[in-house]
Amino acid sequence: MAKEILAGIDIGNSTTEIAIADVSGREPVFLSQHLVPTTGVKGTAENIQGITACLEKAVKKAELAISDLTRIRLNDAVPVIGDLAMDLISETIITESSMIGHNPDTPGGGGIGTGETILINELADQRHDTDYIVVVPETCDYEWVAYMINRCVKNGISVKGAIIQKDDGVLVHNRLQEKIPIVDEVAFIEKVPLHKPAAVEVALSGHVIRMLSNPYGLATVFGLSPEETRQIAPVAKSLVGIRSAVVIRTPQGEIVERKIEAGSITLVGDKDSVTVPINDGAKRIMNAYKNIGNLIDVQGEMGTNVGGMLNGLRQDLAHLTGQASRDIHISDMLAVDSGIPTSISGAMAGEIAMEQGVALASMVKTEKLSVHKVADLLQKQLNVEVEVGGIEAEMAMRGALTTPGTEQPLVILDMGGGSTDAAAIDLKGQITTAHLAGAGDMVTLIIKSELALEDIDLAEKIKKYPLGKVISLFHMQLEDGTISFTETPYAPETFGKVVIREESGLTPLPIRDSLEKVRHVRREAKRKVFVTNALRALEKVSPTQNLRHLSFVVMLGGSALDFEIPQMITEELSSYSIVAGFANTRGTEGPRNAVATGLILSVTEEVANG
Amino acid sequence: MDKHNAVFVPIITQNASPSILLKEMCAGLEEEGVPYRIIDQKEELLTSLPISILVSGDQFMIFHEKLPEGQSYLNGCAGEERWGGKNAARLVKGLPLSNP
Repeated sequence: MAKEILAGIDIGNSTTEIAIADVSGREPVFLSQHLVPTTGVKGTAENIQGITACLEKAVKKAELAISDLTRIRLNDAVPVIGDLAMDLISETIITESSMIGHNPDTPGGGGIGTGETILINELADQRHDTDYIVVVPETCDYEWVAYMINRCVKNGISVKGAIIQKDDGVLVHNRLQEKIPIVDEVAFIEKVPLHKPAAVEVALSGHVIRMLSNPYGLATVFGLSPEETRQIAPVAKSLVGIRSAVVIRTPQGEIVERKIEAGSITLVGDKDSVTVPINDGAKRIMNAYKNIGNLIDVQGEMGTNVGGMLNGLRQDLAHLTGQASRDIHISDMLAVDSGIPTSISGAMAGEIAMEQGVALASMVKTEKLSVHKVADLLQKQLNVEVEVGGIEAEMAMRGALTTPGTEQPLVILDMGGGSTDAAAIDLKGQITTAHLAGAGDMVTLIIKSELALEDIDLAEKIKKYPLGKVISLFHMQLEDGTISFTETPYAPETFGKVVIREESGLTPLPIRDSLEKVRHVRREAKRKVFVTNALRALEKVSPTQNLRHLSFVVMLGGSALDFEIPQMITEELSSYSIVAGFANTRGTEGPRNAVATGLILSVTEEVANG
Repeated sequence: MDKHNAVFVPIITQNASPSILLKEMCAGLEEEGVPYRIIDQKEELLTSLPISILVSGDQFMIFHEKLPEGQSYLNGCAGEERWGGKNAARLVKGLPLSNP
């Protein structure tokens, strides 16, 4: 009898996985497996490219050719697609003032000085009865600047502080006869309004400014009325915790006020519908979600931030699925609080402030994905019989059950890039499923936003690998506080920096946040998305809605490979006396290849059952 | 000289070309608040800091005492003096280096 070789192919949102097995005998003999990133949106013709590339690798590993395959089985992918959006719910609005608030490593001097802003070239011609703050563009040499200020002060002009474009603060300060606070490294010095009242404050190293970060301090410095103090309060807020700052009053209102409404969100369920102001934060939204039964749709208040956000989301999803945007109904939603970096209006050194925001992941059911179309195309291209196998959850369950130490009843938690899917199987073999919005991609988005990174790939790396901090040419501090030593010195670009420790080398982070801060952001993002979703998913598939009635949970998918997500979930679920851990498909594959394996196992069972 | 008083980054000159602006290099160190001293190569080195700068021709090299003899950690040329001084200082302070 000729050998019967079968390929099981699982097209996921982010990866395509293949298992190849010889199914001639009673028990399938697995020959090889492989995975590649999915090409295109799952269930579209673009998938073929990834599938064939993956298939070629897999048959090669098994020392076969594609023509040796008897049959190919594709999974019947779940027709849900997710998307992400993020927007501000609050914003610092600064009116009637400009400000510089930043942390140059080496500002000059210390203390606070107030006066009228004046260009250094014009200083010598000024009146003797006014205090001045000198503004120095980068064309000026530090020795000349110091000479100029010294000469003018000697001639009776009162200089109370300086704003310098270059990194010359200490150099100028060291050469002054009368010491003043100096803020340097002000990138956009040409934006500093001239002939306006201003205050410069520099704190000693290791301290933070106190006067300009206090609304009443600002009121004292500028002699403000209670009404003006209320207006300037956001300036104080955005200067908290930094070492040097400048505030300039521009009472003509040169900086225009902009106000945005955060808006409210309406969750429409089959039992009830609830409207929650987005200002109340993610927690309130998710609590409201619990009380409305099954979600039918989510609507945002028109003309507000959240309205725009949900509209964008709907359009994105309409584009992805080819459905009209009014036919898009959000079937699940996860809201997570997240800081969003926002450039401050009126800021002059390129400062950003972390404003409160909310990240929304949502999921829509689409019309059935055209996996059959993909199957037909694949069959034509490869000249091998291609069939669409059983339901994805069922296949995943079969694959997961090959994990040593598992038995029915069992819950699988498939944590991928785009969604978190759960399925429960009871003693009779009945399967219940749930598809939730929010997974690995949402974690990456939150990390990117909270750390104000420009590069999404960098955020992805932060998510995947542990951190370290290079503390000398030969030493690195690891996340647990231990020190590792190297014999070859670390590269200059990593010196003194927080780095991502990939297997292949170190990637320095272009930000100044501490190792502890970056680690905290990473872990919190994972916790807020995956631990929350694990609990939500288990509640949905548990026959009694009570987590305590579950006993085994097996984690699958790319995010189950993460170095800390499975532990977080194991820890959380252990408080419900649930045994939870990541899968080890066929005892060898870890949390990968479960669906592909299930596709092959289901064939041999079909044969066995006649 | 008492070794403990000798806290400075030595800038050792060796046939330094006039195109190298030592003043800018010193400014880089001064801005960061790290003491330095320009010395003749023949002088005996007595510093408790691990970093030294060698200026030779129109190039400069920044050394760390724990690196093998003759192996520099950073190199630069005329036009990058301020950057060199600044980063020598930042190596002493253990702060991230800045780009040229």
